[in-house]
Amino acid sequence: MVELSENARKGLDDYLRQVRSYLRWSKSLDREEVEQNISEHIERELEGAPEPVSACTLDGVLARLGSPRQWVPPEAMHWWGKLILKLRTDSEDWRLSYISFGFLLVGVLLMFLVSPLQVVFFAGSFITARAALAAAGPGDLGAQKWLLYPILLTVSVAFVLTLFLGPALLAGIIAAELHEVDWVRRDSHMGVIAFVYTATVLVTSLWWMLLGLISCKRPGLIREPLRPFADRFNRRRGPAISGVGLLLLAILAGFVALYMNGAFDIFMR
Amino acid sequence: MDDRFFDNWSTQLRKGMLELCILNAIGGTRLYGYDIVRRLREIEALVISEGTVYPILSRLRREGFLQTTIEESAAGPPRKYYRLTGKGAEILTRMNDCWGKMKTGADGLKGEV
Repeated sequence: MVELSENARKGLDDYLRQVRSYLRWSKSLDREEVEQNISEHIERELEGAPEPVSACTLDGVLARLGSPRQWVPPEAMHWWGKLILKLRTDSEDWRLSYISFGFLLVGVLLMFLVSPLQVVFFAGSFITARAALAAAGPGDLGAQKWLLYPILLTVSVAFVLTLFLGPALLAGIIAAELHEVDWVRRDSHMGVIAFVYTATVLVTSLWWMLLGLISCKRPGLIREPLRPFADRFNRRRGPAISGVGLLLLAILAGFVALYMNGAFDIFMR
Repeated sequence: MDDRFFDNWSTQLRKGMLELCILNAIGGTRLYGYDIVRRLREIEALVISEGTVYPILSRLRREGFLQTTIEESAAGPPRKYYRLTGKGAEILTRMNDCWGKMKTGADGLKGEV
């Protein structure tokens, strides 16, 4: 047997320890056989080397031999071994994706328990998903998207609905409440439904015109929260949003003019 | 980008070729693991971690393409010798045949670049 220096012995022991830890996940490999292959290889490689063999010389042999992980090829691993290995060794952005999906699952489970904690888990899931997105960079997310898209899509849909329709809903509710106030009812000359409708459409059209202007100046304010689904959103979309707002305003003006001229009286009776 | 493409492609090719190279290295003789590694090391384009050869040898043995005999060695630990089985020789012939056809076919497609 080749005599190793103390440091070289430690290096070899560490290499074998790592190989053994991977062998635990193997379903078919013979631990003794693998260790025998390693020791036979090292023995033959170091034949003729000055003894005791230094750690530096041994490191060269181990480097050529390759990573301890490769002694257990994927096809010889249990499924759970592959999973653990993936979690342990994959790049950080994959781990973030798993964490994000885990938070989402816990959040969904907590929904059945009606616990306010679910909000914390959903928020955690979204934040880690965004971190994973940032870590992945501008390229294709690949299979990671199956872990990240559920929370990102949910939040994006909620964001779009709130951004575009939130003010309209708020205006409708406030208008319905205001119509109960005497001076509003006296001055508006409108029925409740017409008043609520007018207020809602008016606020929506003005808000969309404003959103269009914001999109022209700072498209990132809308694009960034919606990553990666609105990556192609740019300032050229602004006029279209403002245009829809303007169109709504024109339709509303026509409606109000017709209303004031009694065109809808037949329906009011 | 081109380098990455080439690296991916050549890695896949090497993976596919490794088993053929191992079986060819053994051929009609009997060799022990280290000698097989040493013979593969001579193929410059193969560029492998030497440790990848042993798991493949084990798998080929489990699949019945190789048989092993262990012999004591005066110089160190016992040596495990590998030899092709009948089934191994048969699959090697088929693999070489397939590789030959692929290479000839691919060469035939080559035009002026």
